[in-house]
Amino acid sequence: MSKVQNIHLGREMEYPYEGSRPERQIAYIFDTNKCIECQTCTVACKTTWTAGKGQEHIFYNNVETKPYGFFPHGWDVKLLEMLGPGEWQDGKYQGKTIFEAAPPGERVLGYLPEEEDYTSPNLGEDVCSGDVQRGAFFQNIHNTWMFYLARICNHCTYPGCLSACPRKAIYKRPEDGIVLVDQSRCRGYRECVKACPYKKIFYNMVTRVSEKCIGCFPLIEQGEQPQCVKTCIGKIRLQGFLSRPGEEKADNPIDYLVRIKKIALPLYPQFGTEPNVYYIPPLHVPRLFLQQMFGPGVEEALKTYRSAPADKQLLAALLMFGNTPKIIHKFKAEKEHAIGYDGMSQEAVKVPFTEPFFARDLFDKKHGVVRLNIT
Amino acid sequence: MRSKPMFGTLLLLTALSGCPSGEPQTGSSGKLTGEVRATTIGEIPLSDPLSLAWNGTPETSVMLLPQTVAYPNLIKQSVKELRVRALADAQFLAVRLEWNDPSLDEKLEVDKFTDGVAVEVPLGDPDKTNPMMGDPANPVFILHWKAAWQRDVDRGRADVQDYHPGFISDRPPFVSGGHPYPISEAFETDNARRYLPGTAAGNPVSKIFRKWPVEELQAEGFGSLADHTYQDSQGKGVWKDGKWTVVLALPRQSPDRANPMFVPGKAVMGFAVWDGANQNVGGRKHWAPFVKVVLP
Ligand code: SF4
Ligand code: SF4
Repeated sequence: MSKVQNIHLGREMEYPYEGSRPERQIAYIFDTNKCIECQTCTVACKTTWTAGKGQEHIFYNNVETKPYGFFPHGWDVKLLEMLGPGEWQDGKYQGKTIFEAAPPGERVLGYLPEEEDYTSPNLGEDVCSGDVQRGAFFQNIHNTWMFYLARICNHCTYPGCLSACPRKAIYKRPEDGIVLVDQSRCRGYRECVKACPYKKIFYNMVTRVSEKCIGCFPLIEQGEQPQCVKTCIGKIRLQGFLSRPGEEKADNPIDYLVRIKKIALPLYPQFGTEPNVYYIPPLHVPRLFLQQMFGPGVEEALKTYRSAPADKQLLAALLMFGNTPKIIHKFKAEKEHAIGYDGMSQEAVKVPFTEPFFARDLFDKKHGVVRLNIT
Repeated sequence: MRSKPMFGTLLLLTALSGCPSGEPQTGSSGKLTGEVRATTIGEIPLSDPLSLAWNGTPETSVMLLPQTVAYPNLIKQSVKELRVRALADAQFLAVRLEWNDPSLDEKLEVDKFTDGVAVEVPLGDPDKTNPMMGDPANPVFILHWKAAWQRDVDRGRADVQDYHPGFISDRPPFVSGGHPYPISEAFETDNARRYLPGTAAGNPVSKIFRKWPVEELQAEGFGSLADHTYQDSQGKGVWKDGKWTVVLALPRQSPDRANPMFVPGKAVMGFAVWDGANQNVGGRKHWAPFVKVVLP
């Protein structure tokens, strides 16, 4: 085991390999407050990459309802139970990661899902945290709650999958940190399936090897965001690149939102893989639940999120979500618009801070009809 | 059945047993424990591991150990002993490997693992070769048999509907024919194969068609296993009454320079066994260090 710096945990941790961060790290921000669980992302991904035989249960992208939705069944609660409780003190995680808690003879603490765990991917969909009592009414605090959690591979900085593969058939690209399974070398041992804490690597019973999200790398290489990001109806997603720690740029929307404003947080940072999908937590969910899921930065992140209407720079960064297929490398706030630039520093998108407002006469003289306002 | 009478067995064994590295031991069961002695036969009954012809060659008991040197380890040992017999004809050296296994595990699904067995032969100096998968200076040849491959050969490639009867899904892209789009028929074009990524990438594990249930491999250390371009070996396994009986036949001479040669004299062979029911796979295996093989 080597010692590596895990910036999510605020400390060094043990990892089977030396730490080497890519030049830039593919990263995503998902705003959970905006997801409507339409599953357009899931379908876009499925039809692009996993429409073959043996891939029926493979969802590189899925959207599950928390607290009772899981795909595969119980993936997070099972591992949390195995890992046991861990405290955070002053932003530093005191508990053990999946690498530090590895049992003798293993590199990683994990479990292998059963075949049945991949059935009913929408289990728990739209199920609330509890019953709504008769006579209950809204008093600014939600008595029951649920939220949608969109999930893909986190292209972790310290991938559990990669560290467990005895054949080194999984690799992390130095140019962008995308984690890939070499389809010609994998021998289907499933050590990765067992080790990935997010269960985002799958066994294909037809090809008899493991497969995972490829970060739509052919699109990334052309400067475009992945399918699940581009097609998102709720405009909840932004994909870009995170700089190495200490090299953050304030005009890079991902650096800005994740490292500078700290508005988006990693999912289960305590697992220790330094995942690179960052979530803006849901506003109305009990804090303890959110802290278990996103770590100690939840309160501050939500406070910052609420301040967005009065913070033009922050608003400009948030307006980069879902408004262009291009990968945004830089952004800036102008008087009336937020502007995003692609990798060639060309303007890729210009979004008004305030949507233009059109008032139309109630009666359409040309067609002789009364206009109905349906929005 | 092609079994033929053996010849010269006793004389040959007597002559060879006085090898310099010591006498083979005979265990309480009367089985050999120190070395495997091959007996010459006119033609090895390769397709019948249960042929009585195998009774005419001595059985060697090989003790198995759980693999605990490299990650991940085999935590639970479930197979203790491998019983080995060897026959040789002009073309092949064949070993018959037998072990107790109460369950037949031939299914591959996320949580289902296949039974398997392998023999390992050093390609260089046996004294310098690490029996745990060799090393770059001293690689090893491996012949691997799997129950899942035996099923493919005996009853056709396992398909989704074999494991999940009645399973229906949308039509996969670019396939030909109709539901249930058998993988051995419907995925013939390159475009259709793109949705079988391992197969499209040429991964030997993802092969759709398999002539033999064995695979020739080479290794030069843990994690380095690579398959041979030319596959000259054969094999056959039968599970009956709570035990596997598997014949692995290695060509005595092969034009493939990556294959070992089996000339009269001595060779060494290592063994490994996987118990699918206990999720044995890859390095989670039972193994035995090199055992001497005496060849006619
Ligand atoms: S497309 Fe967007 S809004 Fe719809 S489910 Fe996916 S992440 Fe949520
Ligand atoms: S989320 Fe899982 S599959 Fe993806 S890089 Fe991390 S450990 Fe590997």
